[in-house]
Amino acid sequence: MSEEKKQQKIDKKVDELNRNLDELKVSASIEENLAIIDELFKDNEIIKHRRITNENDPSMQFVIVFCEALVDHVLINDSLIKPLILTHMRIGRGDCIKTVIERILHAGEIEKTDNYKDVVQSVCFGDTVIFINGCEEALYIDTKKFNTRTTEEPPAEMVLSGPREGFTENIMNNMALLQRRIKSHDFKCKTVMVGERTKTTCMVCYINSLVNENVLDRLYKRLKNIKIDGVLDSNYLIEMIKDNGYTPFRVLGITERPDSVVGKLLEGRAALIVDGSPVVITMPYLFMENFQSPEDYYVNYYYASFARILRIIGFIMTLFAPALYISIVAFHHELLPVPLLIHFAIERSSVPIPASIEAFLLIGVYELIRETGIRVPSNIGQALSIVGALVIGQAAVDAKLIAAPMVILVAITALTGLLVPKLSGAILIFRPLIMLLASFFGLYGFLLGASFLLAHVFTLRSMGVIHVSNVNKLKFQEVKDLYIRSPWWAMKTRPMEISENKVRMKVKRKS
Amino acid sequence: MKRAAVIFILIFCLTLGGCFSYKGLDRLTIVMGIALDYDEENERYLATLEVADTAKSSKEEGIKSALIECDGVSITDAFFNATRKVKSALYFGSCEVLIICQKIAERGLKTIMDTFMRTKELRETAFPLVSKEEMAADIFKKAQGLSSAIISSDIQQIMEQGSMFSGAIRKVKMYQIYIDILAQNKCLSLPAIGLAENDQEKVVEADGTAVFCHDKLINWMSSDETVFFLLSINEYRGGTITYDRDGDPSTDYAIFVNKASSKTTLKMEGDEPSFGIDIKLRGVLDEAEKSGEQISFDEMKQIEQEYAEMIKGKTDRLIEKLQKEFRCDISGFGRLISKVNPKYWEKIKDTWLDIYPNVKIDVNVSVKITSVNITR
Repeated sequence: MSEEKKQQKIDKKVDELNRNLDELKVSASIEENLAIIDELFKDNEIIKHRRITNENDPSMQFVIVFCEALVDHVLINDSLIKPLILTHMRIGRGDCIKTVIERILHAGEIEKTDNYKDVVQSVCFGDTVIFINGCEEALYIDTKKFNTRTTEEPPAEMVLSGPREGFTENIMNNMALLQRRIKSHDFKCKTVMVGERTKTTCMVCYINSLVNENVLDRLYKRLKNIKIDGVLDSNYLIEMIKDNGYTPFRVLGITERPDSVVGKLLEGRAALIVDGSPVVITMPYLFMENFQSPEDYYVNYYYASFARILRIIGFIMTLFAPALYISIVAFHHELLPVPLLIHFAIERSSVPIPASIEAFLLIGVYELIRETGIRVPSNIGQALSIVGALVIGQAAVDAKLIAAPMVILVAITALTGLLVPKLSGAILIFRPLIMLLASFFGLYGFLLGASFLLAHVFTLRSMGVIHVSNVNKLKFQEVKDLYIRSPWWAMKTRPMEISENKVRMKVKRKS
Repeated sequence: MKRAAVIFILIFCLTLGGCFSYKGLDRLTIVMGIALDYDEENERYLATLEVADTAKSSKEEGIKSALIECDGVSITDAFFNATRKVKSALYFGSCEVLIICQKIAERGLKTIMDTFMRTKELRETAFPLVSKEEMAADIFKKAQGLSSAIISSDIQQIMEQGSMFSGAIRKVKMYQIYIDILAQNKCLSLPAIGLAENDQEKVVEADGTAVFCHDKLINWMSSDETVFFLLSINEYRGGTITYDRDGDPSTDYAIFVNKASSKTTLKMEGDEPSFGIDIKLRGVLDEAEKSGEQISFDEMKQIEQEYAEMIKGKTDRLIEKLQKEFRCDISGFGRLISKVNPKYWEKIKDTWLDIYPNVKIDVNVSVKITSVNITR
């Protein structure tokens, strides 16, 4: 009967537990704890538990719980099970936990807890939990060991010269990559758990004396408010915490390169690292960062400045070129030089559809080819490019389906679009919009669309910081890293609107 | 509510506005040049439009041109009648050349220039020309294009580029002459265009200047005279001036002019206006019959002197011809009076063309030869 009653009590507790893990406390009875663990991890066969009894004092009983797939078995055997069995130490009634931590276990990182929320989390993260008979707290010991991808150069951010390391999916590896580069006590990283079910570890990193406190406060506040089942990649968080939820522009920076993250931390930005994703979020993110590349800082500054100006021109061209062409060809022929006008007219006279529809059609086809190119395995790519180039380019012109100038225009649009991959989302939305306005109203519509775009960009905020700051400034220290990349000896201050601690360089270049 | 209103307004703007002033390039007939004639018997304007023929043109054979002939009681009427022949709308935005026949020029250009200036598409930068042929349309019909199949492009090139090197072409655009037509203080002059034989074909040729009394054509200046006319009104843009000494070909010279400028000044002696024209010329001695020999400093001075005298003589003769024979003030002496001494101009403006033939005009020429391009 008493056995039955005990069972009922346990069942009741398990029911509660499913409702609220937070309030479920570790019991003093090993049997009770075992029953709860069994119920929690029912049908999950990689969660193992094992009873241990001390050989000198049979009243000293322990249960260890761990996840088979995530732990280092040798470590558990040598540092946990062996000392627990063989120890001569007696556990006093009062501070048994303290004795176990300080005098018995051979492990580096030991934490204690009194609730099941932590127990479940740590078991699932590769820790080993020890329940002690007669003790209302449990211990969890870091015994993680699992395989992850090795550090390699991120394919999306290749550089010709400069560091080639990239982040991986393992958060501790990533932290290692960062800490290794900043050997200072000023580098801080705080853990935040996000995801109701996945309990994903996220790390907020910053340099204490440089970081903008307002940005940090906003970040913590927004992270706290997230109620989502799971966080599998940084993008989950980006969309949850960004200032303007609907904008196609990127208002939080992402990178897979540790050197790039450290560079941003040193400018007073904060970084958010998500476990399971090699992509690190940096904030605040300014508009001109779209045109910056990590390589800019590793090569000659003349070359880097030239490349940056090219990227800016590329962005403007890919966004505006089709709309400008449509409005000139359909409305404002006066803007074309006469010989060009005649040649365009000759080309256009054989094509049955209006220029705007032609442009939409061809840019649509280009987007199709681009998307196909991303999805197909790389060895089919060659066939794809032949089909793309021959069929769309040559044959369509020969068949008088599209005019030759349009092919050139779309080729330029597509090429320049690839120059600024960070803005591809915005380009995808705003290019057709401006094209549409231009095909209805000509240059008037073109300017209307462009003004709307500008107005929109200027309303954007990144973690409360104005997204397009500094573009209206003319002081050298404010524009030194915007349109051009100045030499390092000339960059005497940190970006003005990010960090309060402005002076970067106190000594003169030659002393 | 507010958002819905904005969306509705946007939708209405896009759909009800339609394609505001949409003109597809494929639906245009691009007019390159206009030749305007007048049929006095029927009192009708005959317009011949040279258009780029987009149907016949191809990459291999280049751009072809076609002519559209139309007539009407007025010019606008003629253009509207032309649209009955062509499949798409006439586009005057790239029309660079406007050739006017002698008959219309003799009747006066005031009204037709007004029409062309106010046509919304035709540019003010088009070149107005007077045809030396009987029919202006003959320029388009009989000439063969040298550089392209489009005669108007050839003419435009001659006016733009040729005027830089020939020195005998007055480059004027429509907006520059419009004020001359309206004002009383200056008479109009326009470049003349005609046909010339070249390699057994007829080609267009800039052929002197048409001289107007106010806006009515009265006579012509030859190409040689145009050179000195342009020198005297500070519109000479470059070219070669030859010194042809009578009877002795071994002493002929040619100067390539680098820079020519002139300044006209008004002198009032009581109620008698008189003018001074200072012409300054800098050039390179480009061609001499006595090449091979050294030209000494003194000789050079002498050549400069002789040149100056020759230019002065020819300019004097031209101005006298304009004063006494043509009796029209195309150099703008009247305009100078109206600018410098408006009160006096108010008094004489109605009788200016009667005073003008007897006004004293002094021409001063100085020539500077900077270097000698002759092989020794």
